[in-house]
Amino acid sequence: MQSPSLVLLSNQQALQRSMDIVANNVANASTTGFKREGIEFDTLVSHAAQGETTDFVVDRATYRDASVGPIQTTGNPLDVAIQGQGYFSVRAADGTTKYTRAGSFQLDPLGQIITQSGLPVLGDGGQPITIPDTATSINIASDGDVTAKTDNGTSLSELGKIAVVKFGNEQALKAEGAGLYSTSQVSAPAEDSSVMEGALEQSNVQPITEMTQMIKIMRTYEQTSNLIGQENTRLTDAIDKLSKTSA
Amino acid sequence: MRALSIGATGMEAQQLNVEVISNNIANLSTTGFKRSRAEFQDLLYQNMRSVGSASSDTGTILPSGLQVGLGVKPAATYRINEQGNLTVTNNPLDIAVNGRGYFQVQLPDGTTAYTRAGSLQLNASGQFVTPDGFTVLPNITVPTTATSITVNASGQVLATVSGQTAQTTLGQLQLANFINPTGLDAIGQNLLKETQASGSPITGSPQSTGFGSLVQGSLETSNVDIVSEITNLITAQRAYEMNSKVINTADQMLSTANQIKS
Repeated sequence: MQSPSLVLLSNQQALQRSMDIVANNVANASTTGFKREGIEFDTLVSHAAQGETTDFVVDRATYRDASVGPIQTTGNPLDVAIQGQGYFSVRAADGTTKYTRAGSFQLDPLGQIITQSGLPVLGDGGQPITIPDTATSINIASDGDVTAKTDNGTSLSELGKIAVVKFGNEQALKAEGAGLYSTSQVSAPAEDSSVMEGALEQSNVQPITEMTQMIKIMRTYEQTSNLIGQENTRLTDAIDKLSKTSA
Repeated sequence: MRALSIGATGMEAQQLNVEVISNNIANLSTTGFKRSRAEFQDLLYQNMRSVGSASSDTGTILPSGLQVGLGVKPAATYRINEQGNLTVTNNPLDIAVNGRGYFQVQLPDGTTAYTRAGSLQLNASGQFVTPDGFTVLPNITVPTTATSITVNASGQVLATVSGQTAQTTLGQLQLANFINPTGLDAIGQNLLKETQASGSPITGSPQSTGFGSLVQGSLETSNVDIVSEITNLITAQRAYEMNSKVINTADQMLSTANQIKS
């Protein structure tokens, strides 16, 4: 007898969760390399007595929209955007390799290329890339090859090549926060992608999509609430009428 | 309801973004100013269903998980050390650095700060000082008999003394350089200080390997590009509005929930 309310409740909970996802997308509208997330609903079939089934709502999974965000030029030679699919590899503090799309790099006091969180960016050999202190201008080619020039015109080549890697199942990358992803999958070089120096990939959040999504969630939530209210009235009415007939 | 606090992190982030942009715009005419950029990162994720975990005892795994992000955080505000334009002032003591390098300035507490702003002056004893009166290192004293001062591209300071035909060499200006100039700590008054992130200063004469040259009678303008700042400002304001809409919606959802049993 309680199942209408419970089905509606499962919908309310799922809607709250999708509102959280939308809120996170909107909050990260200016986060470099952020990928918007969506939520996937499913039915959870419960077999009640006498062969009746009830379908509850369950939020099964969140997925990332892997489309490339708009590229904005910044004029900073160490800002690198990936054009196409793929990730930069970085070495996390615990020694493991993590992946990121946020290419706002810097140099550390040793001249290594690091991320905003201070993690060294790895080259295609799995080693950090070090820029010598005599370098006055740094150049990153579209294949990720890092070269530098000194003031007297000497070119410093073979400093390393920023690795761009891809995976079999991109959705299985686990978001760790701070723009990082981790996975146990083996990476392969992303050969059809290129990098662009002096630019950053903006977040791919579309304001219109998020706003309409938000309106939809709120209205559905209201409707569900109304239904719960009506269900409550129906039950009270039924109890009322039934108790009167028996009296 | 996490959406309320997630929206709040978004509003805080955009507020910082506007603050950074307004500081850039405010310093549009500041000599040697380098524009900053606010960089954001996503916050931690809450895993409802962890990706890659087993979905059955036959070894099937979840192809994607259920992760809810908890908002945004500012990661850094970093300076973009692009060369600013040089503007000619014809003041012999305005010296611009064309290329890499910072002037070294001795602070009243004895420590050294670094600056790109070369609007120098002379103090009562004839030393090169910044507009705040801090001496420029290495110390160069201009004699009172000097009628004109020349600073050449490689940093030599020469003076014409009345009654003499040949110029006298007064000294050599030195510049300091850092491996990671973005890591310098801005302390205001156009001054920057060395940090662990910047690395130790490497000093050298202008025009030597790794250093820029000096241009007398010119100043380096700020590298703020007003058009891009204004467009960034518009984006930040709209993003701020969207985040407030999120908080509003979450609030309405909660209020709807409160009114279920009326």
